Amino acid sequence: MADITSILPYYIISGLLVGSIYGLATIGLTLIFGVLRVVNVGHGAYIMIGMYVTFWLFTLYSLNPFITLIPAFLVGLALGMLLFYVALKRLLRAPELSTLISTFGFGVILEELAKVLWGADYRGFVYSLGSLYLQGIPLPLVRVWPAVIALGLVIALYVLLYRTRLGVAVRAVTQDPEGAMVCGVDVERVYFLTVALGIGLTTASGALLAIYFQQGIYPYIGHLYTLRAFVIAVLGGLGSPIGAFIGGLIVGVIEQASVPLFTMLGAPNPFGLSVFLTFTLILVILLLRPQGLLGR
Amino acid sequence: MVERSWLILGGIVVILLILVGIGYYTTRPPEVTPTTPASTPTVTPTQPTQTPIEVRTPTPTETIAPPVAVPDRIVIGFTLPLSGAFSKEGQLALKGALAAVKWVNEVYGGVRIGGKRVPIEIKYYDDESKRDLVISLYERLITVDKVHFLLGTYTSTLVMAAAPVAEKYGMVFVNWGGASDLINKQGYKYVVTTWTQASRYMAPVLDLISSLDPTAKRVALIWKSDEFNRIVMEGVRSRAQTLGFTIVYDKSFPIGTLDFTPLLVELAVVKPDIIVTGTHFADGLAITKQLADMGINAKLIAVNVAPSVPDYYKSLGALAEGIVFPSEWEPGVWWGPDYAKKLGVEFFGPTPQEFHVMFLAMHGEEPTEYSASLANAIILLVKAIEVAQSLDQKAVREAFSKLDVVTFFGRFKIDPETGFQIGHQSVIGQWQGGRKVIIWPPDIATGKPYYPVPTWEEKKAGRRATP
Repeated sequence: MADITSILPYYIISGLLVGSIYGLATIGLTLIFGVLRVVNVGHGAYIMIGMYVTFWLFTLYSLNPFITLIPAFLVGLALGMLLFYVALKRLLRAPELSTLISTFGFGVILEELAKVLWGADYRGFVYSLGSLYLQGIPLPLVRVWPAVIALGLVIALYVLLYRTRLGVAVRAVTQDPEGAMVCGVDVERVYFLTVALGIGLTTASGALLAIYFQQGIYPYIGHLYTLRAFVIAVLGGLGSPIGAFIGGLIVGVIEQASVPLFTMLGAPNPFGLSVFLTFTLILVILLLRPQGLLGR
Repeated sequence: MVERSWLILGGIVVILLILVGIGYYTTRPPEVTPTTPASTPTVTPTQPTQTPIEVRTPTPTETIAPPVAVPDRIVIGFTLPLSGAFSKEGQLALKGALAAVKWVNEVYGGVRIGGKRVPIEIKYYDDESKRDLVISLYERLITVDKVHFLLGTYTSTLVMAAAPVAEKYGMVFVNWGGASDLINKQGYKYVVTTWTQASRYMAPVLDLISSLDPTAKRVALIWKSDEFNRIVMEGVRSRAQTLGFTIVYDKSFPIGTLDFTPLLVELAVVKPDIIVTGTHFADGLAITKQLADMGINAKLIAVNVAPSVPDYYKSLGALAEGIVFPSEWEPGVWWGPDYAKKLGVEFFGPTPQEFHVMFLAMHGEEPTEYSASLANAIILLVKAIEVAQSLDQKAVREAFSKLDVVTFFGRFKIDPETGFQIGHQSVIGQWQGGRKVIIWPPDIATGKPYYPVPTWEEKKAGRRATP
């Protein structure tokens, strides 16, 4: 296994690819927390919905999976609006536990709805675009393009937050809701848009994850991503969307590249250790920067 | 305000349209407990009217009770993961239980005990694939519902939570759904396992390869580091040593892994002859797809658990062609009275064909290993009660120890001390032309193995693994 080191670049690139989608999948969580101070415990359910949108539109209507990103985003927007008006709006000044329970409840409702509508089956589809070859090892294009799109969406979000009036308003509300209100910002509207956008990005990331992995989509798949999203959000600094993206990249690269490194060191269970390394790194970062990488 | 109302309305309409539109076209499987014939006993919503006699002695040392007054029905309690991570397997299993109850009550005429024929009834709860819930529900089944006997739930993790509860109350616990060897290594006195346990489950894949190609010796193992797959792989490893295989790659991945790239990149470098993966359904699907994505070919690829579920082929299509898998039982495995005669033991229960026909008629689909295994557990429990001629837990447990019998599911014989299954054997199947074909052991095979399997490129081009 001497040549494992020579293919390390493959691992790093692969880690960046999956990491960028992890990052996007976390941005919605961290955005909503940053602006509303609400932790969306049901986060994974929206990823699941995004995956199902892609799955169904592809299998039923043969729609190009990349195009399904748009309906997935729209469904997310709609769900975000619903979440805000039905639950969060009434709970803005309520104790934290109330919002935790209501977001959790929303997640459960979505999961159970998915189960009632589509059954508990694991679903999957096969969609291929060919492969690039990196050091002689195929790198499927269905993994490259979702990562590129995720990066594009993050750049778009950056532009929105830092180059538009709406972005200024969002950041102002993040920093000081009362101050923003005094300056004429419609705080509730900002809350509303943030939740819609956050959930929209989350379902869009679900669509990208569906294209990336294509298999094993089922009503409870979101749980796998919820934990990851929390880890990444804390790592990047809760409330910082760009931090979340960078956190995603870091977690992606660690997940992938630590495996050959541990193998070289002769560790018996390298893959398991990569999870350990991820959490150790988070501990270290939180010791040095309790607010996370880009948190304030 | 007007604007907001429109937004809410728009949001709701969009979601409903999409969900309903999608739902309408979906051919989803029937939900839990599909319609069953009115005559079929189903869940008892209330407590059994008659409480059981003598039984449930917390001290296993109590002596066997004399032949008993017979209740008007025998209630068998269990939980199933009807929702949560193992809901697929749980729902499939439930269908088997319903079929078994129908057979016992309507075809067989009830349990023959004390000169009477007593119908059986099942009482079950959804354990939501959660360990803590399993514990409280089994407590409930024993103390509140006062069921006469217990069956296990699906998968080792949950069974490991349920078994100690049964043991505490000295209740016979028929384990049909937990394959980990550890279940029977805890020193439990009342746990009886009815199917092939993990260490012997997947090893026959190597016997198959030995018989097909003596030159294919380089085996790679990739497995989930959970209890079940760890022991499955121990079994495969020890069989590999016996048969002279070389294990060229042997690595695990943590539970919840979505992306197998780190291992598959190494595998692409190692280029083994045979790939054996230790997985459950979701990761088995994912790993197959990712092997295909990365173009990692081998002469034979064996995947645990996932391919035995028909959805595997539905998801992967042609990519599933040629994939080999172990199974406790498959439709087409006709372990009938002839097999019993060959072994010189008794046959009990419906023949495989009868079970198959009845199951198809009841549920409109083929039985799977999960359906069959739970049905088998019920049928074996009936047999043990008849042998014991008692509802006493200890007597029935002793009857299980003495039992050597063949059912439609195969042979049943346990180690009397531990309850470990030693009679039943797993089979090896292969997806060929969109059908599951049994290829091992040779005496019950329904087709010939296709070897070496087509490459991923060939499969994508439409090649099928039909001989």
